[in-house]
Amino acid sequence: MTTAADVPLIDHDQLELLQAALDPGELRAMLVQLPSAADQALSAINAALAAGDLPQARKAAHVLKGSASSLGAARLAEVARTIELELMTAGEIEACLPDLADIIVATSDELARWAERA
Amino acid sequence: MQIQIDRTSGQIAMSGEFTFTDHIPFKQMVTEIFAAPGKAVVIDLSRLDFIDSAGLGMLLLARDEAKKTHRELILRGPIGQVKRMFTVTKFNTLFKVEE
Amino acid sequence: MSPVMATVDTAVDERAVPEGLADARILIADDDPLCRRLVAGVLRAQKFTNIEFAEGGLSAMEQVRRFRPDLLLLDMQMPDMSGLDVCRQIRAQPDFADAPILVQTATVDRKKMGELFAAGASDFLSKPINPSELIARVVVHLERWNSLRALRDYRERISREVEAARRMQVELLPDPITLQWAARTADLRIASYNRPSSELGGDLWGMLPISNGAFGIFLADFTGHGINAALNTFRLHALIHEYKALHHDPGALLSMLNERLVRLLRIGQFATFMYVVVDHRAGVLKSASAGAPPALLVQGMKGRARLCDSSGFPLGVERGVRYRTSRRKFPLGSLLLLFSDGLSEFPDADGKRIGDDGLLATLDTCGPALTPQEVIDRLCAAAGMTEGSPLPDDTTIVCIDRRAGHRPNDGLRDRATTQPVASSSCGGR
Repeated sequence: MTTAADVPLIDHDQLELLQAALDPGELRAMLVQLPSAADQALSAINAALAAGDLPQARKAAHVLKGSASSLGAARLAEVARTIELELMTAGEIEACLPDLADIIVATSDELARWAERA
Repeated sequence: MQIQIDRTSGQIAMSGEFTFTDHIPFKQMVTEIFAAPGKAVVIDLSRLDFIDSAGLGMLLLARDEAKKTHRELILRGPIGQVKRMFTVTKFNTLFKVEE
Repeated sequence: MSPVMATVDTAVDERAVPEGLADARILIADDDPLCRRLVAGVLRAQKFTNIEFAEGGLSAMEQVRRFRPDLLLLDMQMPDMSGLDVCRQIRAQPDFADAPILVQTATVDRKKMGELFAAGASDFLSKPINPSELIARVVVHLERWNSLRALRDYRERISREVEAARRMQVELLPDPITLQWAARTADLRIASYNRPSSELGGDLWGMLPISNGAFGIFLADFTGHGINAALNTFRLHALIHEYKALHHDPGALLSMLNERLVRLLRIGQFATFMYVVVDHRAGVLKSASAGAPPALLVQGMKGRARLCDSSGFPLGVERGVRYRTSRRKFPLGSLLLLFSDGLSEFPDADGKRIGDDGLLATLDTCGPALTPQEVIDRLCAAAGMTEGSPLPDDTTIVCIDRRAGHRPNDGLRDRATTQPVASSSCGGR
């Protein structure tokens, strides 16, 4: 099993593909949007767990996985994938959430730097 | 319909049924045989069982091609229904038909 | 710019979107707003302008009905309805049975991919989204869809036009009322059968009223069949009516028609033609033939059926041909049958053709108790022709019957029995 830490924070190849295909302003706006979308996903997972609704938590993780992977946030996508598909219990997911919060912050910083450079 | 072509002697042998559906192969054959040098073109009909009006029309095309290229066209040995069709349409007077 | 980026740039530029696709209606169905925005951003950068969104499966169904997309980009997993169900339901709508649906999925599970195509997906897009792949697949499927629709539109237009032409051709045939009137006046019965091998045919027959109850019946058969032959029947119909003064003189009419057709028809095209003037007062038939199948004639009550010589150059082959008029007796009790070679040369289930002699033998079994329509039906049956059987060649049969004296309602009943046969075989006149 890969752990999130083995996966690079950012998938630079993916970002370059997007850069070639998108209007630069539009790409920047989406990169800025990702961390807040991730925060919302985190709150949704928390809320679902509090309500004892494991499937709902996995759905929130699934959505996060999709946008994170497409926007080049590789490690964030990997944590989301682990929550969606690999963690069996609410306890395991809960234990993973601090890690998720940290990765959101790190991703946010890195994407902001990338957006400035681009 | 089946066509056998002997290019060196300008002989064509047709067998089976000569109908509407044979338009394209027959036209190709006519173009080909009259493009090759030679004198008379003989179409052997002795193994042809059936001809419809479209088949007769195609023979008229061959006749026209022969006229244009100053070649003689001979139809040989029509039998049965083909022979009757030649009689009823007087094609036996339009073409040189050899028994 | 780094070298890697330069190659990526080129890859996208080479996939420039072909003209005419940019205004295609594209529906993006995804519950994640960021993914919707990303896909739309990639498409807009390629000048696609007509994009709408759905936030879930139900709204996708609604948007499909309202927006009528040319292409649907569908996320596999949405909270309210699975992508598979959306696919199935859209495919169930006739208008969208073949429209492109591209499903976005992160899965590479072979079984799930199988389900996806079984549900009606046209193709899939992998996640994370690869912009070049997205554009390439969208373009391929839009082009395929456009050409399919263009082909369908073309086919529909052509079949509408062929249908209009078919109706016009049916209108060239004698109308039942005129026919019935001529039959009553001449104290005889007329029945007919006409069925083209495809929508349009190269056979034509008609009735030309002359005077004192005499009338002419012609039957023409152009080489080949289909549109080419059908157009020639229209020409011939116009020519025949141009020479009204010759309608009483078969030989003269044929000679004139031949001169005109020789100049009109391409080499290899011709028409066999039979024209018979029926003069019931004189009890005489006057006829001329241009290579048509022989007419079948029964002369008088006790006569046996025989073939009338019909040899002659077909119309349109040679210039300057003089056609002769032959006269034959046609007393009470006689019957005349004209047919195109679609009847005599119809290959039955064993590939056998009844031929002129077979028709002759069958006609001899048709006693005077049979109506002319029944005579036609019996000849068709003897040839192995049933109402449903496809015809390799256009087929026309006309029967003129003087065997029974005139009975007041016969004409009417005759038409009533004639029409259903003719109409069902003409494809619903």
